[in-house]
Amino acid sequence: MKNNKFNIVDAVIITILILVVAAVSLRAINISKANDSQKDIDIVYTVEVYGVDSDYRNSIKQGDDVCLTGKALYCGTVSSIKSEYVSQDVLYTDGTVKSHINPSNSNLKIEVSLTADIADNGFFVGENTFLAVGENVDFYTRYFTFSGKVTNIEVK
Amino acid sequence: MTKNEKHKFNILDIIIIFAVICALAFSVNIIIDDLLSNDMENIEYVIKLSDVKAGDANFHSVGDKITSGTNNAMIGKVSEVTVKPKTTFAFNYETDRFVAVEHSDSFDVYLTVNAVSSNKNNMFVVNNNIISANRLIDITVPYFYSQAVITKVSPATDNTAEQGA
Repeated sequence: MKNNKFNIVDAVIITILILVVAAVSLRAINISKANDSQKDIDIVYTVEVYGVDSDYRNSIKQGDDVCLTGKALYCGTVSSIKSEYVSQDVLYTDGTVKSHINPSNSNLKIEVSLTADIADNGFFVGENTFLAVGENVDFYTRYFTFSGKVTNIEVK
Repeated sequence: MTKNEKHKFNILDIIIIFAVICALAFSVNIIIDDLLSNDMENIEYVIKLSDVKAGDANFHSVGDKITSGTNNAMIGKVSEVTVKPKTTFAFNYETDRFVAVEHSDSFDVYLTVNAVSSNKNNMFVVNNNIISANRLIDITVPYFYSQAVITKVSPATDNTAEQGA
């Protein structure tokens, strides 16, 4: 009788099996979370982008489509942009500190409109990618790449 | 004497076949995606090289071909060169505000580049290099290598772009 010894091939196959089961389970959890959401709600969410150089501050415009970097998922359309120069603290010789506007960079507040499923202080883009308030996310439009923080979600 | 062993089809065979099918499907998906991304258009974009010394600023000329430092692919041709003194903002205690300060020994070089781009996932892509404002890009122009930032991109107004491939 042949003794079947446990070898490296068996170890690789078992590892693959475990990874597949883990991936399927994670996806099932995400789908379950998506199933608990309110469907197709018109929302406006705000993305705050800090320290944008004045050279390309105007590269994002109302009407631009916003997508999620990496997954290339559509995340809505820019409905408004507010721009303000950054404030920088300055130390005076008497030890006091005052805040002053530094025009080299700007902070942007970008409002994005989207119809999405919403749940638990966040919303879904694509099938089951969840964006939460407070999360730092990498986005892009056709002309501009940016990283910003989702700071607010409002139902229209 | 030889043994005739009959190979029984088992779970491991199923897993291996499944893995091969997944790998094939993934490869086909990538190939089809590349074939379908042939929607090309002429674009014009501006890249900014910062902190360039006076002597190095003269290395850039209209007509220079720009190559990506990432994958050595050509990503366009220079159509305009603008050299400006580097400007920073420093706090002026006399006027009590930040004011612009020009540096006499350091320059910002803006290269306007024409290229042919494919349209992939709502992005401009030139020879596998994403062209988008606020993106850093490694570039090589004749006699010069630098990291630059893309400050602006737009569809070109005329057909002067040279094929990037």
